[in-house]
Amino acid sequence: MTNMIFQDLITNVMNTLGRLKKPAQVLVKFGIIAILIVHYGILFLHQLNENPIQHEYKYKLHSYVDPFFSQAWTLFAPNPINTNMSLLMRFNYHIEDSTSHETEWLDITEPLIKDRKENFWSPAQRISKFTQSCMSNVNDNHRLILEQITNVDSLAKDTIKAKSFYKNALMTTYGHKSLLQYSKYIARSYFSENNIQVERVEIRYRILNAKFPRFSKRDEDYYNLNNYAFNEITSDYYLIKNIFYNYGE
Amino acid sequence: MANKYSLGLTITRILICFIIIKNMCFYLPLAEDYFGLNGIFPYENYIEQMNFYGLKFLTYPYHLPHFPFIFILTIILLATLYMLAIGGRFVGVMLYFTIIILKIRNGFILDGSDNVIQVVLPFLVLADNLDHFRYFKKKENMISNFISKYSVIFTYAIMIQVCFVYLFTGLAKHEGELWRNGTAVYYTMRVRDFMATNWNIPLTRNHYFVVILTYFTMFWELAFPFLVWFKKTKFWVFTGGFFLHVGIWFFMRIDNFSWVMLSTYFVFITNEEFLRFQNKKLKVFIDSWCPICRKFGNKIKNVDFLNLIVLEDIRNSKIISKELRNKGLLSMASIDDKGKSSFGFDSILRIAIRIPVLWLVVPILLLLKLTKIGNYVYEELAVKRTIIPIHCNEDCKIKTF
Repeated sequence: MTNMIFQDLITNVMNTLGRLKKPAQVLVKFGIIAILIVHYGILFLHQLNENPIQHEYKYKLHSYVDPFFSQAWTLFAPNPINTNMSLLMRFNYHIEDSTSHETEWLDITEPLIKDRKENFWSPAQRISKFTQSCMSNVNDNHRLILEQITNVDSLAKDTIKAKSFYKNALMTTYGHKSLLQYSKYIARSYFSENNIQVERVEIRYRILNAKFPRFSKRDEDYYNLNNYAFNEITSDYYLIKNIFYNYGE
Repeated sequence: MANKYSLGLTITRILICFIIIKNMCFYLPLAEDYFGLNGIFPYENYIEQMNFYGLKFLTYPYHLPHFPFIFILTIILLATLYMLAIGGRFVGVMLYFTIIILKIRNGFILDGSDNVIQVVLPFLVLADNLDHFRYFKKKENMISNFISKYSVIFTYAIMIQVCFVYLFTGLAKHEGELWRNGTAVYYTMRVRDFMATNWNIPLTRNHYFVVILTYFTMFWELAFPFLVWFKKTKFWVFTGGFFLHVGIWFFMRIDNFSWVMLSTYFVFITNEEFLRFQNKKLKVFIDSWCPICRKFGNKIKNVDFLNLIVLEDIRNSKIISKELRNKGLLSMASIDDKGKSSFGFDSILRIAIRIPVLWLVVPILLLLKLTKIGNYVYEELAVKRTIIPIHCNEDCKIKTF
C-alpha cells in the first residue's frame, strides 16, 4: 500500500517536472545568456579606453577580470617596440681569501637571440620574453619615477633626496626584483662554469636601449652601430643571497 | 541535441592541448629556474599575489624540491587525457586550474597565447568538444547531459572571446602613431628580438611592403569581429588570418600566439561546412605513361591530408570525354565537384588550394598565373616530358582514391 502511494507520488512529481521541463530549460538558457552578457559586458568595459564609467568601477572591474579572465591584447600596440633592448650584468664577488673581484659586463640578451634564431622552437623564447618584460617594466618605471621627481619640487631641488627616492621606488618594482632574482640564475651558471667558489656576490645590471635607424632612414646600414641612438639605465650594486638552492629555509 | 560545431570544437581541443603539452615540455628542463623557490620570478612576490587575489587556497608548494617538475608533469598528463577526452569535463576543469596556478607563479614568461588558452579553455570545457576523437566511448551522465543542452551557447562564448582578442588589439593599434602612419611593420620586423630571417631588412626597405602590411594587419584585426559571422566572408577572413599568423611566425618567430589563434578558427566552422568541404574533391587525371606525372601524382597523394584529391589514370578513365582526354594528355586535366574542368598550371593551382602544406606557395602560384609565367613554364615541361608507351607494371601504379 505504502509502495503504491510512493510510486504514485513519484509518477506525479515526474509528470509535473515533465510539464515544467521545457519552460525550465528555456529559463536556464536565458539565465546562461544573461550571465554571459554580463561577463562580456564587464570585459568590454574593462578593455575600453579610460572613461568615466570605467573609472567609477575600476577596482570592481579589476577584481572580476584578474586573474581568471585577464585580457591583455596589446602585443605591438599601441606602438610596437622600436628599440633593441639589451640586458648586461656584472658581478662583484669575494672569494675565500676575502679578495674582491669584478667580472666584465656579461651580455645576457645576445645568446638568447642567437638561440632563437638557430632554432625554430626553443625554450630560450620564454627566457627572452621574461627578460624583455623585466626590462620594459624597469624602463617604464624609470620614466615614471623621473617624471615624479621632476614634478615634486622638494625632490627636484635636492639631488641626494631624489637619488634616494629613485632607488627606493625602483626597488619596489617587479621588473627590478625579477632582474635581481634572474641574476642568481646567471651567477649560478657563471661561477659553476668558471669553477669559482664565491663567498659574497653583488650584482649590477645595465639596460641598454639602442634605437636603430627610423623608417625615414631605412636605407642606412642596420648593422652599423654609428647609425643608432643609445641610452642606458645602470643600477647600483646589490647584494644577492642564496645563489645556490637552499631548500627548507 | 548534438552541437553543430562539435567537429570544430574537437579540433580546437586537440590543437590547444597539443600546444599546452609542447609548452610544458619546454618548461620541464628549466622547471626549478622558472617556478622553483629560487625561480627567476621572486617567490615572495608569488605569495604576495596569491594573497592579493584571495587565492591562498590555490597556492602550490613550489618552494619544495622537485615540486615544480611534478606540477608540470601533472599538466602534461592532464592535457594528454583531455586531448583524448579521458575523464571528460572534470579533467578539463582540472587542466584550467593548473594552468592558472602556473600562470600566477611566473606571469613574466607567459605570452599572449597563454592568455588566449586561459580565457578560451573554460568555455571549451563547457561546450561539447568531447564528441569526437575519444579514446573511450562516451558515457552519458546527468551533469554532462545537462551542460550539453546549452553547449551551443558556450560555443558562441568562445567565438565572442576570439572576436574580443582581435577587436581590442585592433583598437589598441589604431591608437598608435606608428600604426596610423603605416610604418609599424618596419619596426616590428627590425627589432632584434623578433628579426627571425635575413630577409626582414631587405623587405622592410620597401615602403609598399611596409605600408600595405601595416594597414592590412590593423584593418584585418578590426574587420574580423564583424565579418566572421557571415558565411560569405568567414573563409576570406580566415584566409587573411592564416597568412597573417604564419607570416608573424615565419618572420618574427612568434609561434604560440599564431597557432593558438589559428586553432580557435575551427570553432567557427559548422559540422555541415566541414562535410561540404569534404565534398570539394578534385579529380586529377594523371598520364600513367609519363614517369614524372606518376611521381608527381604519388607525391601529391602523400601530402593530401584532407583527402580532397582523387587521382585517375587519364589513359584508362571511362568518365572523361574524348575531347577532354586529348587535351588532358597534353596538359594535366582536373575536374572539380561542380564539373568544371581545368588544365595544366590551373590544375596545379587547384591542387595547391586543397593541400594545406602548399598554402604557403599559393600566393606565388597566383602571381605566376596572373603573369602567365606559370602556364609558360608548365607547357615547356609538359611538352618535353618523357612518355613511355608500354603497359605499366606495378611500379608505375598511382595511388587512387
